Amino acid sequence: MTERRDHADVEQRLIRHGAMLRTQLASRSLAPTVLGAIGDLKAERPSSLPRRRTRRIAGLAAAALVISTSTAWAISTLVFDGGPVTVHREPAPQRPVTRELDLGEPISLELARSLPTFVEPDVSWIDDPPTAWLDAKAPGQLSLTYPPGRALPEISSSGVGAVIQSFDGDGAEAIRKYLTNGTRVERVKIDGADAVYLYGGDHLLFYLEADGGYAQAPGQVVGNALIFRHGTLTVRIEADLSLGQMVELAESLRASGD
Amino acid sequence: MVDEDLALVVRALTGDLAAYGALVTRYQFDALRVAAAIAGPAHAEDAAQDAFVRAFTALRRFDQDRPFRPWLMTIVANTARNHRRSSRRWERSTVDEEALRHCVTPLAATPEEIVVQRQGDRQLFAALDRLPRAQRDVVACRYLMDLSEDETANVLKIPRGTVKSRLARGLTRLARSIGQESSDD
Repeated sequence: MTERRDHADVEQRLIRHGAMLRTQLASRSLAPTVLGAIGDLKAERPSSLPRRRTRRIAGLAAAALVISTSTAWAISTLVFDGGPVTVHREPAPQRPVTRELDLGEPISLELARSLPTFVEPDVSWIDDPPTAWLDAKAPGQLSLTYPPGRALPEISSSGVGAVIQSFDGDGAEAIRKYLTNGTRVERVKIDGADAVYLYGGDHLLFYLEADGGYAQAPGQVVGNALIFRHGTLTVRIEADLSLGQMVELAESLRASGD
Repeated sequence: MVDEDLALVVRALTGDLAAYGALVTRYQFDALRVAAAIAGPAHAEDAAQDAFVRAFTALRRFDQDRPFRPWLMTIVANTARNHRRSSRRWERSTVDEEALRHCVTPLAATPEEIVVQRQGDRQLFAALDRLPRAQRDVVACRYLMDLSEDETANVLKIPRGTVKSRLARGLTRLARSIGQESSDD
């Protein structure tokens, strides 16, 4: 009987203290500090480890060329630095690759249009609505796929007509592309910004983890592609189109509501 | 709510910090309660903030087929355990004299009662600090932070039956500890 009364007394005191503590906690606002810390975190890794490593390799290469032109292994492989998307020459990593598209999860076009990475082309020769995909493998990677049609020849590697991928351009390197022997590179301007057009042969695409290592997902074999900065975004268009059509497509990109 | 969470997660994944801020605001009280139960109220804010930052960096690994809140609370609990390792005692950080004064005053009718109640508060926290950690965690989750049995089991990663048994043993031990201290005085 006494023990039960003691229990009840302790319970009452705990409940009273709990109410006091929770009142204190309820008045806290964590969002400003948390978002500030996340902002600091992003600022600390603007170019990400892999790119720093690439630049270091480039520096080594310059020195090595002075010493001996035969040390070809040391030549920088970086062809284009598009923020989250970089393009390198071979040698590509010895990792499994697939021809299957892996763009993440399908989402509604309505949801896609509400995202800050959404862009869509505004050209008369594309009528069909796209399918939207969101992938957590790369930060903010939003993809639109268009079915093949009269103006969009089927891409042999994936079976779609066109893929338009957009990324948060301030993010760390998330996709690394390697040119294969047959791939040719042409540097162009899209609305005044540097761009690269990869054509003439399939190339390889690998996802990177946040720590710079290769992701578990297999690499992908991809066809002709144009990669460029679009405002705060980095955009990759994959389609079996001429350079002129690719540029027209790229320059027509609009954000939702534009 | 779950759909709203998912929409905010999706937006946060695209780099929309305001969306993540909305998730922080939505779950900060829950996170603070869990962190306070495990690491002690004085460490709750630091632990919860760390946990939200960790959750953001891990957001890409969040399984979007599952609800967001339990995933977040697991991160909060793990982070709070790390904070607890760096602080040896729960009780010392808990006794906030100013807070106790504000808390006790409206509940006590006379100055004498205030003195008695404050003394009781200190006794209670000292007794809590002497409890085995496993029992103290359950008592703190259930009574101080008002988590349900299921939430407590989830946060502490123990079966629901263990929550009940540890709670009963913890209360018995607390009552004895306080009773003994009172008789010593």
